[in-house]
Amino acid sequence: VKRVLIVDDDILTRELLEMSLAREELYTIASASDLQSARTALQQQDFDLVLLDLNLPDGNGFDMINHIRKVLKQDTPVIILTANHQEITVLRGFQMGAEDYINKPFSLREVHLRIEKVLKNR
Amino acid sequence: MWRSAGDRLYELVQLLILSVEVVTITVLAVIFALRGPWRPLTPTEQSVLLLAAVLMLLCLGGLTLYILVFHAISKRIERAQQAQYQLWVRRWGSVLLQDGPPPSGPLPPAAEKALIDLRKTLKGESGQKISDLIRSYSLEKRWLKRLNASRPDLRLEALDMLAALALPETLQPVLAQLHDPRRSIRSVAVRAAAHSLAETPNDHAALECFLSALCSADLSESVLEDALFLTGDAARYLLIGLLVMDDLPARLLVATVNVAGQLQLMELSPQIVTHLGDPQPEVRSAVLQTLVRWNYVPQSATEGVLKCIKDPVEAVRVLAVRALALIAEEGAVPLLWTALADPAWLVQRAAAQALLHFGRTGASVLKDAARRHPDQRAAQLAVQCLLNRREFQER
Repeated sequence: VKRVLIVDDDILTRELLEMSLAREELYTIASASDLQSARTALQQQDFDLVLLDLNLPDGNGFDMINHIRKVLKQDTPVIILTANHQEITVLRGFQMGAEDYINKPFSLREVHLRIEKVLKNR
Repeated sequence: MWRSAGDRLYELVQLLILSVEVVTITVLAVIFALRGPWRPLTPTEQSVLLLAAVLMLLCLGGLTLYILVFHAISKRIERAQQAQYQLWVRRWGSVLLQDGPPPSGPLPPAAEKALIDLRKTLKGESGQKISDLIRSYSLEKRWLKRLNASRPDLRLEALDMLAALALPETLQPVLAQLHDPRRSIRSVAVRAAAHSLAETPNDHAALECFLSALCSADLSESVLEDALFLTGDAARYLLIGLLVMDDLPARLLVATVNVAGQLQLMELSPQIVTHLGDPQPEVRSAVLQTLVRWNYVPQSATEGVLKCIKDPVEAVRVLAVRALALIAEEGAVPLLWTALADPAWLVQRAAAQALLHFGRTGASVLKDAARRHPDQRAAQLAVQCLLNRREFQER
């Protein structure tokens, strides 16, 4: 069973992904609505994957990637999940060490497959 | 809902309190004016004064209490609504993921909001399921009916909701709103229609309808651009359709070219570069801007770009000079040398910057210009550009 952290300020996205991923019984899910609670969750336990929104109320997702890589020195894979489709944002995400990028609106099947693929590659 | 009611009540309370204060102060002012301010107060006058002070205190206290109670109630209602919303998200989630039975209609507002938000969040198979649920409750019919409302705010709300629902069958009635005399309605309607079209990018009949509506509607360039972007996968087919049309209005042609540029649809370059000779300067500018954005000038466009160097419109010349930096060095450099002496400073600066694109050759041409260009301003600009470049390299 893999541990997945969902970081998104949108309650609907969090609930939906939690329900959808938990259904497969392959994942245990934790969720956070802002950077602060995501940092606390990451300090308290290890995760196999982080699903990360870029626009958060107390900062942006890039800060979170930075925190995971530079402060916590973890190589936990990060999948960015955002409505920002701009090429520059996608490129920056990859440059900072994100494993994959999912655009909102998203397909639940696509999210599942991408998570599976990223975890398999680890 | 409760906020607008609370605001209205607040205005009423404020009006009441102000009226009481004004009346009291007026009465006091009249009494004191008639009796003369130097005479000592009688016991009756003292009680009137005290009563007025107490009344004002009560008024201000009442107003403060109202504000505090209003905020407390607002927070409570918000929390309750949030909890309801979360509950409905879970419920819809279980309908979607576990194929549970959908709740029977009519839906409460929180359920409807959660369902519409799900539609905005999901695409693919799950998005389709949500669309079917929306249809089963006939939500779209209610909003379509509201398009006939006489109040424009209700129609705008309906268009917003129809945009969120993005159902292909709402395309036609939404497009009909493009003939509305109000610009705001037309702008929101075209966006709503674009959302619907994005759901069926291969439906040729829908594409045709959208195209003809775009051509006949009175919409600004930015709204047209926005709408074309929102059509998602359908945008490419629309742009192809628009570019082969004759007598396209300039603003629509500009929007088409700009969107093709931003979507990097370089395969449309043969159709786009034919508009380099368009009589409208904004169209010529848009084409040149697109070439610059692509960082690519096709062979067939070279002649057109060269013609634009002598364009009477300054903005067109600036873009043509920038596009020159993308064609072969031997053809571009002499023309850039000439452009350095353009009467417009912006064109001169663009020419100097374009020369720097050619690396050492461009820099040596600039050095040459700094020494012996017949136009003094061109020589000075060349010096400045070289200095800036050195500063940049040192940094």
